[in-house]
Amino acid sequence: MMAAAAIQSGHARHGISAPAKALAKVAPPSVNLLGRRPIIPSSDRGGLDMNRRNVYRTELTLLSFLERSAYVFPDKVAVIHGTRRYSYRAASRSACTGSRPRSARPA
Amino acid sequence: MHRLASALRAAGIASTIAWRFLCPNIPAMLEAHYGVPAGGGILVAINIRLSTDEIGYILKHSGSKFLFVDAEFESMVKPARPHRAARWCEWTTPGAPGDPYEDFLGTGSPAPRRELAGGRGRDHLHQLHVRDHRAGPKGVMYSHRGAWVNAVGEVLEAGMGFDTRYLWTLPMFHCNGWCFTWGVTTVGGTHICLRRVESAPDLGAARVRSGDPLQRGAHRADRRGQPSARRTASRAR
Repeated sequence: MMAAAAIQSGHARHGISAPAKALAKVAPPSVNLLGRRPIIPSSDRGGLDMNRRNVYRTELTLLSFLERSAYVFPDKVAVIHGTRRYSYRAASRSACTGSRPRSARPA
Repeated sequence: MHRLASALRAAGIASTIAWRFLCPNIPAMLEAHYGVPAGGGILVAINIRLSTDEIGYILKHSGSKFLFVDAEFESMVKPARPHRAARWCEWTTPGAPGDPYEDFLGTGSPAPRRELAGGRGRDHLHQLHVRDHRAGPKGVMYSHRGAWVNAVGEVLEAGMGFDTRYLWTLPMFHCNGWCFTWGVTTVGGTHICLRRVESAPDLGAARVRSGDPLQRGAHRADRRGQPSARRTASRAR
């Protein structure tokens, strides 16, 4: 509970409102992912305990590749097949089908 | 991707089921590499060069109910067709209205879901069947996380970048095309699909149609044993 309280105050310092209940539910682990005690105690990290499993962790999934490319390069040609061309926007939304003319660009 | 994922979910099957694809390097195959994991399923890409018996074994071993097969290869799975409860979806001319595959896609929604079903890192993503000379093919499981790491590794290894155009001479059913199916997308490159790589006109036509596709990614990736697409094309001319 001490660590949870420390994080709360850390969020408050940075103007981030975090639901206190959600934070209080997560018990701070006494050991890290390697099964050892944290080398640097959380009290020395500005109150943020990086050893908590659910904090700052993003699952790696391939789907983010297409999502990002469709976001950054929506009009770039993603797929060419014969005379058909499909933009990243089209590939992300309806994937590579030409039956929807709005999303497919003729070569 | 979203449309296929939505259609797969709408098919009424719980997630983590295997979806088998038997088709060459066409956009629908590439699409499956995103739509199936987005739908929370497991992709089983089947080697189109195997014998009918081997394909029949894989169909049974992967134990799923759905099979997408290209019309060109339909005859290869017919002996296994009595496989019960299998739902078939064939496509004749992918991309054209009226195609069965297009109809299937039409049941899905292109709207993105806020949470992609396949977002759990250690969940199984792909079942790859490798040959074993002593016994039947083995199913090798990929995870989202492992494939992510390898796809990024291929980007670094092949020196891919924004201007990469990847000519698909490597089969997508072969280890997911070494994860290039995802790697090329990572850098915003362009996939150039080929139904088959058999003759000079195929490569020449691909080159003409797409401008100059045989650039960086296409041939630099070939250092790892893949016959150089650029050299093949020039030799063929």
